Amino acid sequence: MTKKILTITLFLYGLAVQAQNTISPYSIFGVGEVQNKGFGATQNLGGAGIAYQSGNKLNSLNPASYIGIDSSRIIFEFGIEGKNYQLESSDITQKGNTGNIKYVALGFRYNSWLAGSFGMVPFSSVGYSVATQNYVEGVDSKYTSLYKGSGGISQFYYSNAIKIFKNLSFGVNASFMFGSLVQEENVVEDSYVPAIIIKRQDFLKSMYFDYGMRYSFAAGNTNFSAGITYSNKQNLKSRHILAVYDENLSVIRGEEYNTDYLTVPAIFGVGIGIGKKGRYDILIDYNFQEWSGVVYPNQSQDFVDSHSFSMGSAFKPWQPRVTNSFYKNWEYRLGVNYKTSYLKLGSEVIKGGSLSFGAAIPLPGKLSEVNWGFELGTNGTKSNHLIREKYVLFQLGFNLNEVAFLKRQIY
Amino acid sequence: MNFETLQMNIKKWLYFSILSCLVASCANENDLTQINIGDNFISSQTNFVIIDTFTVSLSTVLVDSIPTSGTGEILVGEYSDKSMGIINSQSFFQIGSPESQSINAKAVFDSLVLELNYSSQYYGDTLQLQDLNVFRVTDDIELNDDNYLYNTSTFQCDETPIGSLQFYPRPNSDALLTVRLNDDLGTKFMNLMKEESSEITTSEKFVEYFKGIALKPGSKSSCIYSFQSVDTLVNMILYTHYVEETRIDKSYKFPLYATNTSFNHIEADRTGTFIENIKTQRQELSSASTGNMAFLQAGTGLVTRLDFPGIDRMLEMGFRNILYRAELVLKPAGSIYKPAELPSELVLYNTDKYNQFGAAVVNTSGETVYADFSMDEVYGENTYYKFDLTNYFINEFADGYVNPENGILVSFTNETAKSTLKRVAFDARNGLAFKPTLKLYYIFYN
Repeated sequence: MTKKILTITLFLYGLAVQAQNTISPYSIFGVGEVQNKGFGATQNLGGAGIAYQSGNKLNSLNPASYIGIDSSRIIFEFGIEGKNYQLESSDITQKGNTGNIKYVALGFRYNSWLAGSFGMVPFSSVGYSVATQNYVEGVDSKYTSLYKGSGGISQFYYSNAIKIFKNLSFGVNASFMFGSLVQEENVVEDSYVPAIIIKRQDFLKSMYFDYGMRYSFAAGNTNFSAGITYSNKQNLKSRHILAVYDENLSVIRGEEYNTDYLTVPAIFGVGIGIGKKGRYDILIDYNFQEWSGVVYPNQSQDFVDSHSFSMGSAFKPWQPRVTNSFYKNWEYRLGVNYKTSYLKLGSEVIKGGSLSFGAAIPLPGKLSEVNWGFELGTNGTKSNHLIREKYVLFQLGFNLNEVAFLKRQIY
Repeated sequence: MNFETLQMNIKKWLYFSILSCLVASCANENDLTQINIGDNFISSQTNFVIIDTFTVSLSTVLVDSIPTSGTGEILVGEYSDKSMGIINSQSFFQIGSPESQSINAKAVFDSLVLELNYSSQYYGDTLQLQDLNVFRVTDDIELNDDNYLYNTSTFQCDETPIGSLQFYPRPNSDALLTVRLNDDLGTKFMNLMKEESSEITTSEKFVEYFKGIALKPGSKSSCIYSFQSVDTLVNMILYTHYVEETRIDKSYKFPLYATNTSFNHIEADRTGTFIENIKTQRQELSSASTGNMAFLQAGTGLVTRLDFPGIDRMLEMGFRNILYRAELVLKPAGSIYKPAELPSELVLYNTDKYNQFGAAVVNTSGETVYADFSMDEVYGENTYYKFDLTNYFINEFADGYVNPENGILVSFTNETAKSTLKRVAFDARNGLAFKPTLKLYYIFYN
């Protein structure tokens, strides 16, 4: 039964992810725009949280963190996201909205030294509509190609954290990547080129692994923690479908083959945290993605390594009490992020940053919370014929705690 | 740990998540306007390439014989063409008996004439005085087994003409040309009618008696002119009169007997031209040996052969490419003919190593490929013939093998080839402005 439900969920989630629309011309390369896979707790910390512990909520940024799950509970995480975006080129501004399911996950603890989680999170997302011009070789004439991309990769993950020493845990995250990436190239007919459509599709079916470690210790009331995450360079396997359509939309050429050209570079992350239980947490992360050396067929310039810095704080300004006004029991969150992406176009490295804030509202009688937050971000530049995106993300998430093992007292 | 309870809980949450999935996914995709981005942003995985570095070799082929019967055109005359030599055309046709044969016993013969209606074609210098001789054919004009008569067909005639005329042809201003025929012959016809002789009562009998007419140019000839070979427009007319209370004139029209036996016998004396050595259909003359030109002429059976040596290298380009257009451009040679004199109705035929005519070259819709003729009347430099060879090369390449012995014959449409003397010399010089060009348009994709 569980298996069936899982299959259905996987399928529906897949459908939902297909519809997700990152609207960014920068998602035209490879796997698209790689998504932050953090849940509600870390979303509003600027994406920081490698050193964060899972507790009454799950921290998916570091698989080693699941060891922090309370042994008597099952934790369910669920989040949705809405995006309002604006794309600006030197001559055009384009606005729109997208909305989607963001993550679904369950976390639980097996015993004193082993805990885990499984669920679904987005890995990357593609959505663009770009026009480019190229020369027809042999004549002095340019033709126009309209590129339209959609789709995304989702990961169904199964993660386990193991306690090595009292303060040290290690985690492995095994993911099954699925979803599809679709690119449609519409060649605009002119006197030299015909109206032709080339459709390139990748249907992903691939495993992916990443790893994490976390260390923490307390000094008085203050907790100190540090974490690292790592995933080696991995090539995602996909079924590639290449089809050429004529102006009547009938297929004139088509082929299908297995490939693994979608390279995900080595990713290294390190984070530190300082906190006082129930009062505040401060988290700082640095992420490095080794994109130099990754090659996609449509890139025009070498990629550069990408760096991302994030910092965030979760805090409770007031001592939680049942008698407090409601907002005084909330946990507030603030975060900033700055990143330089792997795209160097011309002399310009695409850079972006964001500010985020939000709060967790405790649900009565339980340790469960509703998380909401906003993220304001910008990416890219209008100069050099490039595009700047500005966006506002609205996030809504639930971390629901359920008492799991009622029959325990029988033993 | 208790697995059942865990299962229960998992189930509960999963149901919830499914429900949420169903409601949560949305996006407005309606405003995906194109956003333009710098040209070197993406390296295109699609490349359009036009390749025009192929050799197109031209040669001239003499077709053994071409049907010239039943075309509706009577071509007569002789003229010296700038590049084709001296062209001589004789025209043969049969005449039937008159429709009305009631003739008064007292009728007196006046004259017998041949009346012809000009057609629009003429070649050469029409300002000179022309000699035209009318001969009586002495052989039965019979069609070949394939129901045609050819430019090479001919029939015996009397040595002396039954009529001769010196005249200035005026195809554009005059409608009619009338040639006075021999009086004895006219009198004979009148007497046959009076006798109600079986030789004249039916056309079938009459053509056995009077087998036909051949029009041949005489010694003075500087052009070829044309008449319409249609039964109401070719007539031999017998004029008579008789006197009762007053004089009564009566004429009898002997119309064209059949259009399908009306044909032109066309000869070319190519001595002194580039193509004087052309003899058989199997032996084409390459343009290199004929003044860097290749020739095409209707009526005399000259056609141009095209070969594409080395085109098979396109087969080595692997897959993931599509040939989406192939264009052949032929240019008429220099200033030999004025643009206005050039024909426009060219078609292509598949051919083999023996230069035999195969099927017409067709386009992707299966229709015959016609030349796209572009005329530059002012300078003549941009006068050219363009052919769509897309389908031809797609088929050539389809089986991964190109037979080097196969080629293309450039010819006229069937109608023009049979009924005219139109001609063109193609330029085969190796200069960008003149040479025959084949352009293959490819898309390479990945």
